Order: sequence, then C-alpha cells, then structure tokens
Amino acid sequence: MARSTTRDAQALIQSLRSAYVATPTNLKIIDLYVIFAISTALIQVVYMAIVGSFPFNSFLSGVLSCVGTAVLAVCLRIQVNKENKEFKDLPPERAFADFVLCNLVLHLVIMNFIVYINSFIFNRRSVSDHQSSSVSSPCKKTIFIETLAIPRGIYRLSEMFQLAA
Amino acid sequence: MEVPENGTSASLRYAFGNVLSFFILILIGVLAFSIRLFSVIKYESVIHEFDPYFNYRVTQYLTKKGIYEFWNWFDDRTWYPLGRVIGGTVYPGLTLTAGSIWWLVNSLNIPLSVETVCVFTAPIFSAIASWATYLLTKEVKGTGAGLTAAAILAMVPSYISRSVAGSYDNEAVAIFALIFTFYLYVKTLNTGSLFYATLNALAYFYMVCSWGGYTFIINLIPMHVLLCIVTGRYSPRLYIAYAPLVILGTLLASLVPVVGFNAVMTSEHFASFLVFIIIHVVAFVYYVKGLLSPKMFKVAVALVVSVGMVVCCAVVAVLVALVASSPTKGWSGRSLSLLDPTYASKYIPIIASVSEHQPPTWPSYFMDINVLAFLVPAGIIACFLPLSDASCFVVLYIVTSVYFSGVMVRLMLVLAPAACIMSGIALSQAFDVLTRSVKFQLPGVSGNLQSGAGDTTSSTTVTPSDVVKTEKQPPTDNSEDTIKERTSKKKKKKEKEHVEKVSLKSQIQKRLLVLPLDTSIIGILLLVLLGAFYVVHCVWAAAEAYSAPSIVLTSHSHDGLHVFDDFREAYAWLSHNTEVDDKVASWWDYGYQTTAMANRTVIVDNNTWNNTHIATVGTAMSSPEKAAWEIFNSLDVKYVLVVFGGLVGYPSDDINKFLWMVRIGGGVFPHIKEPDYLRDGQYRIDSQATSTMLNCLMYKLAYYRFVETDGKGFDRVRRTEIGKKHFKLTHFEEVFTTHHWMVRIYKLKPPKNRIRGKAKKSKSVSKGSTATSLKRSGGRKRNPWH
Repeated sequence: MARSTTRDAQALIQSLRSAYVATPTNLKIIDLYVIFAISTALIQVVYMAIVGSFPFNSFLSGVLSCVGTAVLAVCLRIQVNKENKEFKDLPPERAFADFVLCNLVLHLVIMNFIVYINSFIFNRRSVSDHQSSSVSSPCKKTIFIETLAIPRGIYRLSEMFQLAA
Repeated sequence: MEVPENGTSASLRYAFGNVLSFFILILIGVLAFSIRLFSVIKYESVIHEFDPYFNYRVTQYLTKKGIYEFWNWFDDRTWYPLGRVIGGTVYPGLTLTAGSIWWLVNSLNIPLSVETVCVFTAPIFSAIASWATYLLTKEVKGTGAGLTAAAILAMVPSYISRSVAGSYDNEAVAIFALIFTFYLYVKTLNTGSLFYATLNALAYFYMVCSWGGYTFIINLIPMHVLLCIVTGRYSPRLYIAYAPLVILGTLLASLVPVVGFNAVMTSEHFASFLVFIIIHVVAFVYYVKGLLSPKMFKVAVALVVSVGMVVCCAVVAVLVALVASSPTKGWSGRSLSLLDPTYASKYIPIIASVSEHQPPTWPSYFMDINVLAFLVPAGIIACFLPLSDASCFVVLYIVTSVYFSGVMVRLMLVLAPAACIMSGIALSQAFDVLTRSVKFQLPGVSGNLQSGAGDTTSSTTVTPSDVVKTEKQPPTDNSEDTIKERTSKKKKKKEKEHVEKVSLKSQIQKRLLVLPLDTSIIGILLLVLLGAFYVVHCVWAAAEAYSAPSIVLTSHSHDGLHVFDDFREAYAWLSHNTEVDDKVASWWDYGYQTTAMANRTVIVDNNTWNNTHIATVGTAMSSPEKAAWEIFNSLDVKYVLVVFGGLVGYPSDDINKFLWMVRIGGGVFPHIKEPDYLRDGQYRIDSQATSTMLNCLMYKLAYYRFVETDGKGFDRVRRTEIGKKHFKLTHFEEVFTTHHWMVRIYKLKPPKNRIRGKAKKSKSVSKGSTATSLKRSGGRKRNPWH
C-alpha cells in the first residue's frame, strides 16, 4: 500500500515535471518572479516573528506589497498565456501595461502606508511635521527589501517582454 | 448587396440609439436632481436633522483651516471634558468631497458658500448614482434595462429620504460609491482586464472613506466569488476580478484612519481573506489539472486530500481558537446586531434606542420602494434566463440586502439600488416581449418568423398587469416621454438584431412565441400605467414625507400655516447670551446642532462613542434636583437644555425619550431602576405617576410653570393633565423658553455664599472636615446644600 503510494507519488512528480518543462520561457520567468516575491514575504514574516510586530503598519505594508505584486504577476501570466482562450484578443503589451499601472498604484499606497502616522491617538495637538519621525529599524529593513527587490523584478520582466516580442 | 445596405442602416440606427440613450441619461440626471429640491422650495436651503450638522461643521473647519489641520484636529468643544479626535474617528469621504467641490467652484470665481455646497452635494451625487446604476445594469443585461433601472433609481423614495437637498450625510456619496464599485467589479468580471481591477480597488477606497457600510461590499464580493467557485463558474477572469481587489482594498482601507488596522484584525474582514486563500487553492488545482493527464490528476487528488486534510484541520482549529478567545468573536457591536437582531436590545441599549436601528414595518417597504416590491421577483427570474456571473452577483446582492433591510430600517437604503436594478431588468424584459409581439403581428411586417428567445418570460408580464385598475390617471409627461422613447428605442434595437439574425441564421426557422396582439397592447398600456403610479407616489413621497428639515416644523391650521422655528431660536439665544466657554448639557440628540449652530461646548453628542458619559447625563436627568445639580456641577455645566413638545403637540420631545435616559443611565449606575418610574408597567406623567417620576429633573425642567399656559397643565402629546402642577425649582433657574415652549434652557444656580442652619455632623465626619469649616462658605468641591 505504501509502496504503491510512493510509486504513485513518484510518477506524479515525473509527469508534473515533464508537463512543466513544456511551458514557454516567458511564463516560467513570471513563475520565478512569483516564487521570489512569495519568498520575500515569508522572510518578512519570519523576521516579524523574531523581532516583534511594531510598527505594525510597516510589516503589513511590506508583506502585502510582496503578496500583491505576486498576485499581479499571476494575473499577468493568466493574460499572457497563449493557451488561454478567453484572452486571445488581448495583446501582451496591453497586459503588461495594465500590470505596470496596477503595480504603480500598489506601490504608491505602500509607500504611503509604510511610514503611516499611526499616532492619531497620541497626537492630541496638531503636529507641524508630518514627515515620519517613526521610521524605526524594522521599518527601514522592509523599505530596503522593498526598494531593491521589486523594481529589479519589474525591470527583468520588461526585458523579458522585449525578448519575447 | 442587401447586407451592406442593412449594415449601414443598422449602424445608423445604432448611432441614433446611442445619441438617444445619452439624452435620456441627461434627462434622468436632471430628474434625480430636481425631485430632491422640494425641501429647498418649501422651506429654505438649510441643513436638515442632526448628523448633517456635524458634517457641516467639519466641512467648515476643513475649508477654513486646510487639510493638514483637518487631519490632526482634536475637538475640545464636544464630550467635555474628554474631547474627540475628529481626524481619526470621522469618515472623511463626504467632507473631502464637498470641500473639494467648494474649492474648485471658488477657484473658478463662483462665490458659493460652504452651506450651499453642502446642501446641494446630495442631489448632485444622486444624479451621478443613477448614471452608475445605468452602467451596472448595462453590464448585467443591456442598455434598455440600464436606462429603466437608472430612471427608477432617480426617483425611488428610499434613496430620496437620505439624499434630499439639505441631508448632508454619509449616505449621500456612499450609495454612489457602492454602485460604482459594484459596476467596476462586474465590468472586471466580464472583461478580465486588470485596468478595471485597479479602478475597482480605487472605487472601493472611496467607499471605505465614505461610510461604515463598506463592510457590506467586502463581504458580498467574497460571497459571490465563493458562490461562483462552488457552482463551477470559476474562470481566470474571476481571479483577476477578486485577488487584486483584496490586496489593494485591504491596503487602501488601512490607510483611512477610522478603519486603520481593523482592516486586518476584525472578523468583518476575515471572509475576504478566507475566500482569498480558497480562490488561490482553486486556481492552483485548475492549473495542475491543465498540466496533467486525467489519470495522473486523480492520483494527485487522492494524495493531496489525504495529506492536506490533516493540515487543514490543524489550521482551522487554531483559527477557531483565536477567534473564540475574544468575547464578541472579533465582531463589532453594530455588526453583531445585524447578524443577531436581538443582540443590541440585550447588551447595548444605545444602539437599540436609535430609531433608525429598529426593524422596519411591512408598510414601510411599500412606502419606500413601492411598485418595485413586486417587480423584484420578476427581475430575479429574468436574471436566471440566462444566468451569467454578473446576473448571479445581482441576485446575491438583492437577497442579502433584503435580509439586512429586514433587520434595520436604515439599511433599506442598501436595498434600494438592488431593487431598482432588478425591476429595471424585469420591466425591460417585459417591454421586450410585448413590443416584439406587437411588432411581429402588425399588418405590413414581413412574416419572417426567426428564432427568438423562448418566451417563458410571458409569465412575468402577466404578474404586473394582473392588477386591474378601474380608474385611469393621466400619467405625468415625464414618464410618458421616457417610456415612449424607451419603447421606440427598443424597437430600433430589435430591428437591428432582427437584421443580423437574418444574415446569420437564415436556415433556422423556429416558431417565435408571441402573445396575441390585443393582449400585448393592453399589457404595454398597463405597464405604462404602473410606471405612472410609481412616479406619482415618488413625487408625493419626496414632497410630503421626506422633505422635512426637522429643524423647522410647520403645521397647517384653519388660520394658515404655522412655522415653528424654536430650535434655531434657542441656539441663537445661546450663542448671543452666553459666554464662549460655557458648557451646555442636553440629551445626546441635540449635541451636533448645539455645537454647529450655537457654538457652545456640549457634554454628549450624537456620536455616542462613550456610553458611560451618556449614562452620566441620563442619570442626572433622572435624579432629583439636588443630585442632578451635583452631577452637572462636577461636569462644569452652566446650562441645561430640554426639549418639550407638550404645548404644541411635538411628539419627539425629551419626555417621550425619557425612558431611554433611564435605561441607559441604569445600565451603568444601578441605583436608577426603570420600574421606579413606571406605575403598573405604564409610563405616565399625570397624577398617577410615581413620586420618583414626579421629582426627577426631567419632569421638573419640562413642566416648570407649564400650568401658567392654560391653567390646567394639559399636555397635548401625552393627552393628560400633568401630575405636579405648582412647584418651584431650587437648584436651577429658567433663563429662556422659546416661543412655542419647545426648547427650554435653564441655568445652574451658583452655590450659596453662606450656609444657614445646622451642619450634619455625620456627613462632616465622613468627609473628614471640621464642623467650623462647614459654617463658613462651602468649599469648591463640597456640595453646600447639606
């Protein structure tokens, strides 16, 4: 019984691998980007578990930005996949433009939220400086990961599109 | 040769139809705006009710001081001595919208005042909301249904009641945001374009800024996604419509200070995260299914199910333990009272006491959505023929909103757009069938019976026309024009489809199901009559029922029109005759108006965020004079404001609200017991009333010197003579009573300079001061009346 299940599992993995190898290169690059983004999110969660969740808004925005750009990359993959009958009228440039626009909005919101003034409860009188005074070190780390990784990923994707065209 | 000719004539008709529908939309916008102007014409351009005054005050502050001051505003003129953080506790959408309209208009050198902009914001946004309804219904069923639904929404009384000119409340822009968000979601679902998904998230952000009812959206859309997955309608477009919305929507919702981290921590949002995980699992399963052969897929499923079940159970157990550890399972009180309608009356009397939070009565359905109440089932059936993702969504929307409207009267407003969409679909389908029947049976039309939609909808046409009317009322010009335009437009559209079908399906010759000619003509006439009755009712409701500003009251008597402007009289007296820093205590209903119009600091206001503070005021109103003076003195109160309707018969005065004061006060201070104020379970203020009732502050302040008006003290609202007629006030003095005795203002008497009589030794020992100091002027903290 166990042997048949292990044999089944092996056969399954074999067929999965052979089927996946057949997918076109551009889709594999998008998959790689998705895996990269998710792993960045996991690293941030592990870091939060070690260090603690203050300031919570930075953690939330960091994790959600990684998950968000992964989701958007999956949407791009759906729209660009040539086997998808529903999207055969959609030119891949339009799909990529939508992807970039959505990412732009996402990162605008992230940049706004990552140094959120979460001191509404404490700020009883009007505060003259609205620029953040609470950029602490966990926050800085998230910004670091954020600013390095994601634009590089988008740059790679755009390169790939020029290759594919 | 025939085809290109038909092609050009078809495109010409198409263009003509587009122009016609554009003009119809403009007319619908004008209709929506004008029907809400009755209160401005009958009374004046003034802000209505209570909550709009707070929004007006916030908008004034915004326009005067700018946006940075607005975000950081801490208001010390309410909830004395606690204050209120306005920047973090207000939904900013409405005020920012009106503020930007004011700024834009003033920068174009059109000198509109802030009040004018605030009064007219709601009618403008209701016109835009009817256009959004057109767009949404067009995505679901087509242009004809869209126009019908837009015309119906422009007039529906339930929406008029909360968006009349002067009703400057959150719902004025929130309903537009709701419909627009739903339109963009359905559009993304239909097209699968990420661009619309982005716009959807931004529209959802606007909705979160505007109203607390955004939780309806963030629970309805996941419910719809789950329904699609379960019924096998999963498609990549569903993923594109839902997944970016969850991420972007959660982030944008956390940006709004009122929501903050509640967007990820309260149970109201958990449904969206759960369905987010589910849709990823489903998407992955479909992807793997596409990769593998069917046999290998079965193997994979068997493997995953056995392993995954264990992991899943562990995760679910952890989640359940987390949620169950909080006493309310993470839901807020208001949301819980929606799910369990009896929750509020048991645990939170404040929520139960608001009249808007009571369940509606059956007649209020007919009053608020009138004819739509029985067009909705026809619309639901029409949505199933054929069922698409979008029509599935609209059916889910109407079902959930019907449930919630049954719990709370205020949520009839959420039902209104859904009912309009459904009725628009039903009416347009009915007109479709009837006009098609007429067209194909008119003499002179070629007998080209092509295949058409199987007319099981004929049963729906019988339902509305079953109502036999014996009298014929002349329909108003507007409805006739729009309905005539609609039928003619539909005929043109039908002809275009007919032409296309000739070229495509010339081989198929099925018998077209049509109704007999005279039946269809009578059917059309009766449907037009139905529309006429709807329009007449809506105009009547807008003019008579929902246009009252409730700050000015009118009554018609045999010698003309009486206007009761007592509220503004009282607030004007307060603002002219008291010091700027004086504190005014009243029941929480009048807090917003007092701060906005009289510009005085109040103790409690309509925000009702601090139950204990309200209970303190309620206890003071229910206590005898001495105890009430003590409580008010500890709060630095100088003036007490009481609303009394006994002289003129105004039913919503403080004496009628008094039992709520007792209940709320008794909820926090146990020495106030409700049965003490009732005689045999009945609430009375005549000679049979209990002594606690006759001695409490509210009774005394309301009925002081009332007997001087007619000699007998006959209360017109309670319809009895009052119990205690001649009494003096010892701790308060009357400073102002308005013309019709509706608002009465009293001042706290300052403590006496000298104390006469013996001091009570037992009290002095307990307070730890000597007997001699008692004889001198009373200390600031001690009550000198002892």
